[in-house]
Amino acid sequence: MQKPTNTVQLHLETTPSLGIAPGALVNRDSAKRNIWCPKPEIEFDSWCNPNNPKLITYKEISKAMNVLREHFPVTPLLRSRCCVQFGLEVNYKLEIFHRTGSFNERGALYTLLMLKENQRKFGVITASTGSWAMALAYYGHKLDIPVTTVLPLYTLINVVEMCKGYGATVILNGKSLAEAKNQAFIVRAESGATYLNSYDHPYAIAAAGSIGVEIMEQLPQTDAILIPVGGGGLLAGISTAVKHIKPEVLIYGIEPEKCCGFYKAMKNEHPYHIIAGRSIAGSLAISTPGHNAFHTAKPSINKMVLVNDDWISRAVLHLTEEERFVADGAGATSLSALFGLPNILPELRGKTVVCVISGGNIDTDTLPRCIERAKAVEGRIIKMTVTLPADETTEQLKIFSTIANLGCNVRQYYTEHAWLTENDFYTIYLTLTCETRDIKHACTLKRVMERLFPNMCHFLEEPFSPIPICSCFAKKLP
Amino acid sequence: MESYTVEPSTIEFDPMCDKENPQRISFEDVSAAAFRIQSGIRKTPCVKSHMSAIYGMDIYLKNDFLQHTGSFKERGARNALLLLSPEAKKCGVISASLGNHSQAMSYHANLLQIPVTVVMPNVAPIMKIQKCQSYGANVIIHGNDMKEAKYHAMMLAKERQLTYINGYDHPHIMSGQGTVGLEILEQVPDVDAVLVPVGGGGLLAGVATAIKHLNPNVLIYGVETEKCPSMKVAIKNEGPVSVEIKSTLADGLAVPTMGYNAFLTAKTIMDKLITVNEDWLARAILRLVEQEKYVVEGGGAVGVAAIMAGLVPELANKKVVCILSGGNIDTTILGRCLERGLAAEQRLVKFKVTVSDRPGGIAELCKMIASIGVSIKDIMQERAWVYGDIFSVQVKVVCETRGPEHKKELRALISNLYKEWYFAGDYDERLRRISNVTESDVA
Repeated sequence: MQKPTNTVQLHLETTPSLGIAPGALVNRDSAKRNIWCPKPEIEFDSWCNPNNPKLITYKEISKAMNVLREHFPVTPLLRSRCCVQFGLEVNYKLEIFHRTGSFNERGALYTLLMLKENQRKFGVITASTGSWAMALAYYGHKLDIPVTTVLPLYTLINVVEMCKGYGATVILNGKSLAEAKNQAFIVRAESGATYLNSYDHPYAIAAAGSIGVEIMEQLPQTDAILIPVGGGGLLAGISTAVKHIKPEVLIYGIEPEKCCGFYKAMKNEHPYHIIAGRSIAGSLAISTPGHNAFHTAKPSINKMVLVNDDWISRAVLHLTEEERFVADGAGATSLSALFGLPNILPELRGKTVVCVISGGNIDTDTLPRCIERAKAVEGRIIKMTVTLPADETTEQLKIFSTIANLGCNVRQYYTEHAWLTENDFYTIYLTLTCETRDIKHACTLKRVMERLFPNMCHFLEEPFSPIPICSCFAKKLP
Repeated sequence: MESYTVEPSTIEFDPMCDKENPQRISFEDVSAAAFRIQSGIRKTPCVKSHMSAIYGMDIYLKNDFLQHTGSFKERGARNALLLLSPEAKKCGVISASLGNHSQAMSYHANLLQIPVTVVMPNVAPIMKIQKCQSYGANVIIHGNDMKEAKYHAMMLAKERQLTYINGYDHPHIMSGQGTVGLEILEQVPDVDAVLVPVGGGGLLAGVATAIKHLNPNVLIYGVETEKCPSMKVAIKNEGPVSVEIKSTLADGLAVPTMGYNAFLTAKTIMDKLITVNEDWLARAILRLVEQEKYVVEGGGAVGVAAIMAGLVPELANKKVVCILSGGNIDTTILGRCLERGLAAEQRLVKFKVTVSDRPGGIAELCKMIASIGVSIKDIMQERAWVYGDIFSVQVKVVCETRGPEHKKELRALISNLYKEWYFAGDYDERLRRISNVTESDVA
């Protein structure tokens, strides 16, 4: 830590809470305070400078495309089997078949290839929730560049194992991505490595843009492209590429409403710091969108759409059940906007739409849970509680046989005695979770049960009275 | 149900799948089929798998679950439908099948505007019935199991002049399935071996005919599951015999009697038959979901399961193609397969331990578990069945580990700290053996 090249730098590292002297600030515009976040900047990344945002041009994207062509085959663009169900021509651009399972591989490989010799020697460092870290570790191993990854504490075990397996140094630190990032910069100050930002590095954005070029080559008649948005890198790259090739194509950015940093930034015309909630689309939980990404993408986006977690679960279920692919929450976000039809996005009816499925790294524990949540939302799993007089086994038998006769499957049930109203010693509650075919079947079940066991049943209301979607959910930008 | 075969009843008699008169298909049938069906079938990719490095061979996956109805059966169905005479096309076709074959037939018959009827037993899952109906088929529910449904279907065929098409044994079906082999040779010309799932044997017969004619050096291995060893029994008895099927993960392969035509065609040109344990099937499905991001049904994953179980050591460093024949797995079963697979790989560990019931007893246990990096998934307490000590509670913990060594670490930790503990799966390990042993209660 004691290698002071100039005293102001040492001052910055040892006493972070005092800030930088105004005299020094005048001389160094590169370390101005972020007005939204009054702490002084240890997190200074010359590639992603808030005061000097780099705009990515089509030239850089085509350069990235040429480099990547030699290493990657073109990823598949498949037509959906359920176009009739959606009422539009849905196509999926699948970025899930890479070795580490996400589109981040393009950015990782390109950035590593473009590093200068001395940067390669010191290695690279990054903070990430998973996909980017694995991609960097994989290519760092292949290109013999030392990689350090700082991951938050809640990272999945298999992500950690994969990074370690490829020889990266893994540091687990921080309760959130922002804290991990802070720690990464602290480590960088000592080791001299280059910090690579997964969504804001110009090379990463350019490499992501190559996906846009491929889409236009594979499906020239595209009308609209739906892109998941977290930090904004993918959106910036694809929108720049596509608007250059064919400006009439609509670019929609889809963001989970729990972590809508980019949407807020678009409203405020400036990258905006938010508290990112825990969403099923974990990789999209970025608190501040990238500056380069924001300024590059701003003129090219047509609409930003916010989706809620339930739709994302439904999208994951749809891809698993109908298309037989595994996508993670972030990857399925683009498809989830279509589950709000026909209330939102009515202008897409009958058009040719490409959804970018950006990654498939979903934990094998989360996938079944996501599927169940989606089924509950769609009314295919319902939960009910029946109040019964205790010890009346015939009543229980009647309940189960009624359910069986309707063709429903009981997944789980348990009885509870203790928490009852006063003086009611002889009643028990029987809680059942049942599987049905669809919402109509669930309504049938509800009607039958309420007819046969009047005043004894209580259904969990969620699938039967869903919160109506307001059409202002999709925000049009001027 | 042996009474059906005692008298040569005319209803059960299917002229195309006659036990006394089995037919063999030829290469010309397969290549003609390829030309005939090409407009309606997707030519599925055959991609190199990410798992090749782990198993020391070049594994290629033929993704036939990407067909429109989710399985390779479409090829045979379309071929058979296109080969019908014009009168037969007008009258319509009928079939008895629980799964992929009925969906494939419904879809293509609808496209070709041929009336199609499907008979399913009443144990058929509702999703499958709905799917066939959505493709425009006339679905009839009859019978308690497949035998009764099939009998009813053949009866209806005689009554209404419909053509009965057997899903795995009809020669036209087999020729259609064989087009997979032609595509494999086109896409991976220097393939060394092909692993083919075996249920009724139609795919095996078709693919073997196609490939052996063009390149006799390619090894064709049939892979089937332990719980439904119809081909193994057929080979032993020199002819297809009915096998009692137990409920299996690979429901697409659950056919009690192997096809007669298929057996005759395949038995001479097949190189080896491999039988796989069901545990490996769950692990294969898990591996395909995690690494390749494909959702494949049990019957489609048997090839990969055979490689994972180490049943093909002679294929090391060779180019092997596994046919992923279908993706129609119910999502609930998928969830359970993933858990089973994780448990079989010892990444999901379940154990019981008796801890103190005083405040802090369970907190201490959780702290210890977390300290070695194990993630707790589920924890349940039980008080009534603890012997001897009122102040103890038995806790059942389900947790996720990194692998077998990590599990050993956890086990050592628990055994050092607590007196009473029991890890589930302890006695299972001794019984886990690589297949070739019949009828066991291992799974």
